[in-house]
Amino acid sequence: MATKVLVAEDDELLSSLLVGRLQGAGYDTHAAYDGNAAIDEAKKWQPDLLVLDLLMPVKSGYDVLEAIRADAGLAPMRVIVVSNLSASDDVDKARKYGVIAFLVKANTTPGEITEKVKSILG
Amino acid sequence: MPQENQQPSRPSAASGTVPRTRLFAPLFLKVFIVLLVALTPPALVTAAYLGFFSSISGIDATRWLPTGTINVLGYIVSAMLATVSAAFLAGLLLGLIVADTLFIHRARRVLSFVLQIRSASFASVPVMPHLGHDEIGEIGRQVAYSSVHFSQVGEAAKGATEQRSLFIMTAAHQLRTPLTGLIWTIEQLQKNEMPPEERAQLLSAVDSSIRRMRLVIEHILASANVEEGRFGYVFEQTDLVPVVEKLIQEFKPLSEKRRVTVSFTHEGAFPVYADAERISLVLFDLVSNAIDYTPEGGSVAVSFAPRGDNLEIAVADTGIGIAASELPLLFNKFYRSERARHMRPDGSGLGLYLARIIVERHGAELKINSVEGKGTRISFALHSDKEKIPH
Repeated sequence: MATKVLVAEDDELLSSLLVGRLQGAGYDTHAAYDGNAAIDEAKKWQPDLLVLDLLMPVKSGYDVLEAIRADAGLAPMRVIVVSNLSASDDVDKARKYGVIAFLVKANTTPGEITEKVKSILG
Repeated sequence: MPQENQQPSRPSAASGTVPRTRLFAPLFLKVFIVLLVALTPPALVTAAYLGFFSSISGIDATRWLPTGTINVLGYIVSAMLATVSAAFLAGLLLGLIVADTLFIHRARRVLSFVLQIRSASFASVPVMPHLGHDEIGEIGRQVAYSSVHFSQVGEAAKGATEQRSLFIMTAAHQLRTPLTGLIWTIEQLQKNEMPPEERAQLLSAVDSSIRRMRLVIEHILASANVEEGRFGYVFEQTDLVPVVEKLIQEFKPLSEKRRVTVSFTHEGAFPVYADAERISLVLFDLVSNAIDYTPEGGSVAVSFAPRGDNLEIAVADTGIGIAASELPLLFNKFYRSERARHMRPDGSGLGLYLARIIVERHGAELKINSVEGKGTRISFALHSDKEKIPH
């Protein structure tokens, strides 16, 4: 069974580009377009890795992290943050939730994110 | 301790006036009192010896005063000289006591007050004690007023720096979003094999990212120019109907994607005296917001309605609306309503701020009516009369 990656990103263009890349690399990939949908999908689908944006409608990426870490079933889930927020406060806050990597969207590409995912999931 | 006032009245930095208390007891009067007190005993004693009192009242004051010679510490000296000297010393002592009360004690009190202000690094002013109505007290008061002024200047400078940092961070973040779209799309386009439809879609995405960047840059430049007072306007008689028609055409892909209907109603050409480019930016922001905050299936209506010599321009939507408590803040720089942040976290808070500035420069006012969950209507009336534009 293919490894599952959930992409939580509200920008449809960015989401489709990243999802396309990850699927091309052989990952089973789902997309969620807001924080609530990301939490629901994470609970339902139990992905191996969550690629998370921070600024999202309805619930922010931080809210998603909070919900995941508070849920015993989801707490061990691996998460990488891909966001255009890059202030040290944001990075520190995300790190406190145990995210594996913090990538700045504008300074990276879907190809590089896919490489990062490969290095984490193998 | 008597309180002159609980807090020094805050001098207005704008007025440029320096408050000054009337000096009811200036220093020269006090110096005169001290001299009077110090010189009175030797003067009285000398006058008594010289028979001044006996000549005017018949009392021989010398009866109470030693005469001839007296022994002072083993020295035989003139009694008159010794008594006058003693009176002089007594006068000096009395003068010192009065000077301590009138000057030294009060100067120390003022000094202690100034040191209190200093220890707070001029950031706040403690309760002002009674400082008196002379020049010494005035020094204390002026130091207090100056420190109030310094603290205001300091606060303003700090606020300006914070605003500037916030502006730079917001601008950078706003540019990063479309830049990401551009970088990611171009990476995809560099792949060799791709169906023509996908390539066309990606090129359209590149186009919209560039348009978004251009708008962000427009907003940043306009905001910066407004603050520097360099936001120029070119006023002329202009018909805005084609401007709105073009705008709606530009919004078509977005409105179709969001499934929001955008309509435009007008009663033909109605030339107004305006800067078409600036008003176009206002309308762009209003329509863009209306589409952004209107759920699927909703509508956005732009309307032009003549009102006497004026043209009322309105943008109404069936969107999420704005809480009444947030309406007064809506046109402030960087302000974004809670619902707006919830629905679209990625906004600058500059659009409505600029819209307000531009509309006000046209001698008009942005009016807003909104009901949460029902929709929002923002309108303003442009003048056809050149004379109504503020100079």
